Amino acid sequence: MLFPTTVFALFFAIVFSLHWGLERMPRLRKGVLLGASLFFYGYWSWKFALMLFASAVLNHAAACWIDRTAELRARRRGVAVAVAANLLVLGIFKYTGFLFTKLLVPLAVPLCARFGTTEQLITLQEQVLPVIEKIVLPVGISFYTFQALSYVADVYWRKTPVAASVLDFANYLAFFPQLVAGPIVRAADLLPQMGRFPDRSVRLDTGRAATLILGGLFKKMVVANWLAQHLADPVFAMPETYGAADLLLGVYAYALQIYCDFSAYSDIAIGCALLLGFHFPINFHAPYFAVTLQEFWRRWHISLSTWLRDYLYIPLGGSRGSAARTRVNLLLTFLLGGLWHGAGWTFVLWGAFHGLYLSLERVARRLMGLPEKPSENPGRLWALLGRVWIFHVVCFSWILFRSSSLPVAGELLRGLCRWEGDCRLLTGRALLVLGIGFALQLLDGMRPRPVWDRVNRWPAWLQGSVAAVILTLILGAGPSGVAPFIYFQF
Amino acid sequence: MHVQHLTEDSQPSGNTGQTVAQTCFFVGVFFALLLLCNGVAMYQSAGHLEYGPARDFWRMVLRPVDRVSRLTGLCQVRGWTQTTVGEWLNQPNKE
Repeated sequence: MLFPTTVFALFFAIVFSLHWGLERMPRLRKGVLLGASLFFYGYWSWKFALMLFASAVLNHAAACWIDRTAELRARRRGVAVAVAANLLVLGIFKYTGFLFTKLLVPLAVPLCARFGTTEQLITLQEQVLPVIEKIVLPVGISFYTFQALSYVADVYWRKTPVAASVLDFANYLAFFPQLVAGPIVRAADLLPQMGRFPDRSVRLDTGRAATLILGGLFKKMVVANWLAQHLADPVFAMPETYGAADLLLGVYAYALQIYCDFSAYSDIAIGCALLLGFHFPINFHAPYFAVTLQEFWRRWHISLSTWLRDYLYIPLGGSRGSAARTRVNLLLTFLLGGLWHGAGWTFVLWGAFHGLYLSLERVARRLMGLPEKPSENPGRLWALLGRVWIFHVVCFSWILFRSSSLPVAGELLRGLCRWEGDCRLLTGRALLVLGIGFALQLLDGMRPRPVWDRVNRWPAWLQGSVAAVILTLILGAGPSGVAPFIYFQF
Repeated sequence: MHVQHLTEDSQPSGNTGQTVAQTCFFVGVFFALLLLCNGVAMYQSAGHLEYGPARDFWRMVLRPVDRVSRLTGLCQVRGWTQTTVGEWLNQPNKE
């Protein structure tokens, strides 16, 4: 079920009514929310919903066992089994094809040629490939697997208490607004809210919720879809047919498309949750205003970057060891972060690029005697130069991320380096949409708090009327059809 | 833009948030007006569905909405946006 559809609007209206209508029946209310979340997910496939429910039950059972067990070695074994089981399921669905076709077969080809067993390899391929092709990647599996992993790890580290019931945990894992594409909300943040649902005494931040939902729909339906349709998709589909200026425009367009697309999902998720009385942390904070790449990762997909920091980088040793060890840890974290996004060499290279650049940035900052936190008054000119530079560094990495294969990325980079050909895509409309996409970052974070507060003071009928008219304008301005969110594929 | 505040959530300042009853009213007005403003477009897109019971159902449900939307003139909001901003913005690239 996609957010910007009539089906979702109808679904949300029903869930909203039941959620607040059943306030005096807390257990039924929890059950209804879980049923709604499973229905939302099962709308793609009921098998996905069953898998999600099984994941909730098994992870909760593992967490309960770890919590009850006193002996450290047994606890360690328990958490290792739970983590391995989660990663195994994720690996089977997400990485089997990649491991077999992109890693094992290319490695086996020269060996088989040497030992004269090429025919056996071809037979094996013929048998295995049809099986791999049947594997369908469940939408959002990477997101809820990471949530489940963080819960089990936090219970093991005694950072968070075990959920009071499997119903609470299943509601935490399957909560429909953030289920498919995040934010990856930590158990410590959401589980207590799932334990005690909001009652009628709460005051709801409708100004913020409406602004986030409408802003998100505008970002996705008007800006991201336009940029994809008119600039990014054509350029990345056939880079050899465009001149360098068009290629550059396509790359800029993709940078803003992925921001508008992904942050839109997070905004709509946060807004929907707010209307139901739940609070999520923010996931984006003007990422293209970052002065360094380190700062970019504090502003982009914050829930994933903090997850990788807390559950991968720090357990690997973080920056506690030698400088060389820190660099290795950074590189490993980002390699795995890249692989989390997708099973392909382009994603691995994208992760490696970010890991390497971050390592170099640390070294450069130390050598230049610059402060550890980059935003601490770097001076206006330096800040501006830093922003422009980092935006282009990130754009370069998006070429790897967006290209369907390494040859496509290579073709695009070659085209940019040659710097020739005419410019056909640059129009007034393109500049306008790119400008709007960039400026929308100003609405990130808590900056619009005064606007939300002002909207909160409006009477409910006025809020509802204005919101309905704005959404109608968005629907009229956007291209026809519903494009899925980019991060659904991860 | 301070990095240390990035993951902070915020509550409405003072007592400016809406009560649950007010929020329910807000959502109700929103959906009702949204339906009236988009009734014609929704009825038209239901016509593009594959022939079958789902198409018949949605057309039956949306027919009165379409009528009220036309009668009240609220469908003009979307129609005007589509014929002005929408068509200008979404015209194909000239290649």
